[in-house]
Amino acid sequence: MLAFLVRSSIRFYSVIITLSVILLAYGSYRLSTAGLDIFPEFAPKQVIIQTEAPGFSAAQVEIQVSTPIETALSGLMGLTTIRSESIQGLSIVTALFNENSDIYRNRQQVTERLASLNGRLPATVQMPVPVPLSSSSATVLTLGLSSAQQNLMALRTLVDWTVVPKILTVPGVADVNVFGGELKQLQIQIHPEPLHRYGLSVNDITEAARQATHTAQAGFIENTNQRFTLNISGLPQRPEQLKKIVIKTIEGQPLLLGEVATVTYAPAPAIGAAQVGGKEGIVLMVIGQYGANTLSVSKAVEKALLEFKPLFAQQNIDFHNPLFRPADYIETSLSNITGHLLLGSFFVVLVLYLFLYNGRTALIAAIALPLSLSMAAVVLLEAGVNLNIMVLGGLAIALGEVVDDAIIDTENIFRRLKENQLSNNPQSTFTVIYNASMEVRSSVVYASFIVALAFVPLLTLDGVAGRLFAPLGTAYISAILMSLLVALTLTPALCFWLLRNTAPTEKRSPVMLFIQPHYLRLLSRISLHPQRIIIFSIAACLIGSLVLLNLGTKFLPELREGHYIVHTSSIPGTALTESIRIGGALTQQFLTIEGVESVSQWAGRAERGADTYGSHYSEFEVRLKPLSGTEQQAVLNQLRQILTAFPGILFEANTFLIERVDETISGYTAPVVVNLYGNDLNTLDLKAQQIADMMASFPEASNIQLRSTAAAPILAIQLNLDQLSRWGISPQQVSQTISTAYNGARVGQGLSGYQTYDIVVNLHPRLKEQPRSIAQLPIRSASGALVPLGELATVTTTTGRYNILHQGAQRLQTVTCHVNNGDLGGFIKKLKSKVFQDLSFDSTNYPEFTGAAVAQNKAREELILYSLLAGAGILLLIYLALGSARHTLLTLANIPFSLVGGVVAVLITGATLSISSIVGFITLFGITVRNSIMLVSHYQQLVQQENHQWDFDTVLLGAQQRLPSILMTALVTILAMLPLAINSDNAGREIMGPMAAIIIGGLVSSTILNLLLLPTLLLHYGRFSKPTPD
Amino acid sequence: MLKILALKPFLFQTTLILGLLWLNLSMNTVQAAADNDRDTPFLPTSDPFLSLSLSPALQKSAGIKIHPLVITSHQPEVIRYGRTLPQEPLLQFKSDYFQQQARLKKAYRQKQLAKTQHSRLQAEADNAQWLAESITLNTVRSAAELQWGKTIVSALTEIEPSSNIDFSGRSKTLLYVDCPVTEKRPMPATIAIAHRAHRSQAVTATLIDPKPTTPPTHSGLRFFYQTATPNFLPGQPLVAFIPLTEQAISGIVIPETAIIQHLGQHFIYLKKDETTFNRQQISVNHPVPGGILVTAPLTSPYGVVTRGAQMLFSEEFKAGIPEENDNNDD
Repeated sequence: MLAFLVRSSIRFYSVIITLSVILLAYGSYRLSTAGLDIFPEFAPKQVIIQTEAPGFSAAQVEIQVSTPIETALSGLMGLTTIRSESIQGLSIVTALFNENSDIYRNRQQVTERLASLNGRLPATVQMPVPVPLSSSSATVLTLGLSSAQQNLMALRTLVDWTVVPKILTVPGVADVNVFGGELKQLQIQIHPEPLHRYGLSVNDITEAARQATHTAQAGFIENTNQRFTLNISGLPQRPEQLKKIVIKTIEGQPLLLGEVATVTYAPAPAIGAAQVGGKEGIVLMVIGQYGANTLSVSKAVEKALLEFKPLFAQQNIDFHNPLFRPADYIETSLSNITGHLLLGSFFVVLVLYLFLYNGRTALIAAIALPLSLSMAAVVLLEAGVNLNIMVLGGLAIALGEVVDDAIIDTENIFRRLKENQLSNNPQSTFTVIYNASMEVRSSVVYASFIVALAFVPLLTLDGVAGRLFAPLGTAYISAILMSLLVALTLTPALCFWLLRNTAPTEKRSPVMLFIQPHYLRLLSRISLHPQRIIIFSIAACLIGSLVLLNLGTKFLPELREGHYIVHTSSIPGTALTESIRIGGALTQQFLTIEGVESVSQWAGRAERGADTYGSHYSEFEVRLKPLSGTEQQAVLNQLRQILTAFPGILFEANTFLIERVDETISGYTAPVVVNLYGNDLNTLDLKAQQIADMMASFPEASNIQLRSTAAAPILAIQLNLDQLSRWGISPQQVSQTISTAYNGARVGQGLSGYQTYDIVVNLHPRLKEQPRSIAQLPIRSASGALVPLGELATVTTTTGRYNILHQGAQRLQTVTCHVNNGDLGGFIKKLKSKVFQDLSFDSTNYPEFTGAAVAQNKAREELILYSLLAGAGILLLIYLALGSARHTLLTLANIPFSLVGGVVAVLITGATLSISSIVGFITLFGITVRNSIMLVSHYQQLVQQENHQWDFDTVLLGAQQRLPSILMTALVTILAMLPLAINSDNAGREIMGPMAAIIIGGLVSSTILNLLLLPTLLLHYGRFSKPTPD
Repeated sequence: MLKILALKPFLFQTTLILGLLWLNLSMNTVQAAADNDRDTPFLPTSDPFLSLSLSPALQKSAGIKIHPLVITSHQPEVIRYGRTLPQEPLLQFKSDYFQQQARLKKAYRQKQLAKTQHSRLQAEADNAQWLAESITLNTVRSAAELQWGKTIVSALTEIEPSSNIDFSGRSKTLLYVDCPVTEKRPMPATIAIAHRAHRSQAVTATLIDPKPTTPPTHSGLRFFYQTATPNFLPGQPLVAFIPLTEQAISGIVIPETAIIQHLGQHFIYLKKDETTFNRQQISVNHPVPGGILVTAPLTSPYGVVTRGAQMLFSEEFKAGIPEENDNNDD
């Protein structure tokens, strides 16, 4: 089949060339119009259900909201597990589905089940809603508003009714989370004193207000001719109108609402707050839809917001756009990668010319580069793969490889054409080109498949690692296979078209003229001392392996996105105002750092946001000026310094993408995690504490954490049922009074143009701040007497649970720790043994031992398994290519040499291994094997086809003949990777840079040893002979 | 270079091996940047009054504010509610009483007359009448005493007013104040009264009597007072400021912003020296405007933390801060 392909391509060269031009044009067009995103979708298939339960404590949310939702969702098709977190006022239930399930179908199922909850949840709890389906990277844009003149309520009203609706019309926007500002309400703020004075209860006020603001459907009047719709207007909706509502009459005199309560526009109780640059304001987070392109959505949102510019200017509103823009990273990365591609391509062409010393030949080899990459991109796009940094990275890494096949082919054809011209019986150009192409064909084909097969284990990686790096592997494999196709078709066609009438000159490349004699002399000398070389090589490999095993690891290298996300957390129960105050102090310090452009903060959470953060939690967006990678790292170090010194907070500082990846990373962030499942929270707490104490007894354990701690301050109101009975007051009256006072009772809705706002009865804000105000609230007894609440209940301060966790519909308590000596497996074994020995468990409560260590072990085991399978496949392919087990083993001997160079590269560039480093080693492995195959198969060609004896002269001859192509392929790859490796600590190159460095380092060592050691080994241990006739 | 290496391969080998070893050792001693930004959790000691140390620069950048401890006197008060007594029922009672008294006198005279006229039957009838009027008078008086207490009733039933009580409202105002039934403290002889909860506008009222019975529309006890001013209308709602102690209490007013509540107790942070803060428990039995009057001795040359107390509390109990981003997704 290969012969047919090559032959046909040469015969119909014009067709092949025309098709190639068309494909190149089409590929360029598709690339230019394809949307570009940062990362592939790496979030698991999940549906998050959020339920607002205002005024409910964590325990109440758990029992009355989260548990019914979990029960309703259980048994869905494809469901793997259900998790929930219940905090004060909010329930978040996360349903995780199989990786290969359809997310839209999952959401459909969930929605149908949620509808069945209608009427089963408490009346004041809002309907559970699935959070809008968003992309893995979620945030598309973060904006801010502040104003010295407009107050926070006006700003928030503008945002809610004008800005957000506009943004939501932009295609690709899933939601807008709004933090800060003041949500407008018309509040009827009661004071206990006038209530006592006039003999009123809280309920009297609520009822009067409700009746005054009630909007009834009036219906219609119809006679034989006409129908009139009844419309009632004039209902009190503004403070000055509501103040005139009559509550009751006293001795014939009306008592007005305005005399007993303060009626005014006031903010709703806040669950979130924000500030921009240290000034109170509003932060908007635009969330992208699942599958939406970050870059195009960002631009569309920015375009939509342009029309607000005059409005903001008119109202003296400072519009901070952007506070955070992920698309900047995409654009910078794209620019950097494009620069790399161009520079790399230039180097490729330069090397080709210097070695081949022929413009046409260099061009033929170089043309494979854009064609292979664009064809690979077309294949990916047609297969539905979105372009992202990882896909581009895969293509960028393949840059040096895609020309290798063409180089080998072209170089061989060129050499054979020269030999043919000098021959006494020259053959036709067609035959020469065909034979020359077929000569290297099988080894090129096998080598390409080996390189592709080396990447297959990457495609089998599970979890976030797989989702992130599989597209890179796919892109790389596609590029390699396309380059093979080009080498089989276009390269011979072009050679025939461009070289058939050209007389190959006697001019030899000056580079080769210089290198070749030195190489031959060196090879001769080294061949005389094979044992020493072998010993040295083995020693170098051993040391390289030892160093490799001792290197630090991290999942991803630091990304230089041009901004940082900082999280701070105080002790639960910290007020929003205090969180904002702390944030302001931190912001002032952050702004003094050179290179920081803007800082914004949000605290708490947003309505409809899927985050279960309390008022003690803040997030900062620190946007940087254009800085290099080193400068960005310096800023990060300073941020961490400030945060470490600041009292009372825990923090994390990272880039947005690293944080998003960390949030969804396989398993847990802690190495050792013990999950305790059970029904009784107190028992779980006790056992968790016991396990934590056991962990502490091991000297190697550190950073022991109990995840769900009872830390939130609670004002406990204990009803005195005897007193309630005495006065004929129901518990519900007391609960309702407290709820009205502190949570607010919604009595109606006001209209202001097209804007609506709630009309709410609640306690005056100043009194809400004082816990002792609770005792003064009057409640009407059965006899009509007013009884202060303090006589019906005891008010005490205590602590309660900040959050309650569920997994698989069971209560969960988690204990985590780190292990200092690195022996995670041994530690887990010891811990397990001690836990089961000293603690008793039953079917209702039991522990689960897991953590990053376990997850990574599992991942490692799977990777090793698939790698072994791929390795077996590679061995088979090598054997098929070489036809000899001995030579197969000798070929594999080259691999450790590439390891040495790769390890040195890691040491030079950063001394930590990441997934991208491992990908680099995998790439290196494939290239190294290919180079070895080329040399061995050439020796086979010399002995079997050209009747040379297998001796030292043949070794030198073969090495000399293969030297240009081996050096060229190595140099082309090295120089193509060089722009990536240099300055890898910059946007777009952080992940590819370590890969490129390892490839460069490994290629240097493996090429040197491939050219020096492998021929020596083959001379002494290889067996090449002519095959016997039968 | 290549020649040297080729000529002395052993030297080359040795150099390379040593070089790699050096690189390995040197890299292993490099402190990698902290991957984990979380501080090492602070394990709280058994000492509840742990000292926290913050440098002056850090105190400034963290925005900690200190309020000096100033000893002051304050008479703690509690707010109760009441009304001025409407005059009509009092006057009505007075009228009824004297009318009844007149009827009694008349019945008595008739009885005496019947005796002198030696009409036995008439005398018995008149005697019965006199008894009835006497009982009625006592009933009226008793009912009034149950309503307004003995002192007011006595004052009302004097023909020539000699008591201090002014029922006309021209110079003084009679009023009542309601207290919860759980109120165990005896009502003070003088309290302050105002139209609304504006302490600065309050006037003094003196105690007359407690009401003997519990009012049906109110839980607890009712006390009658009289102000020295006539500034109140009959039936007008009032706010009473009841002193909780006989004398003013000496103590330190701690602002509300300084107080942290934890496990049912209240704490403040005192600055002990330039860099040290101590947590101190306080009692909140004496609320005053703007804060709590703390009578227990508080010693601090610098004062109490009025801004940043929650932050210091968070620093002390850092181990209790949950790791919010330890998400179990995937």
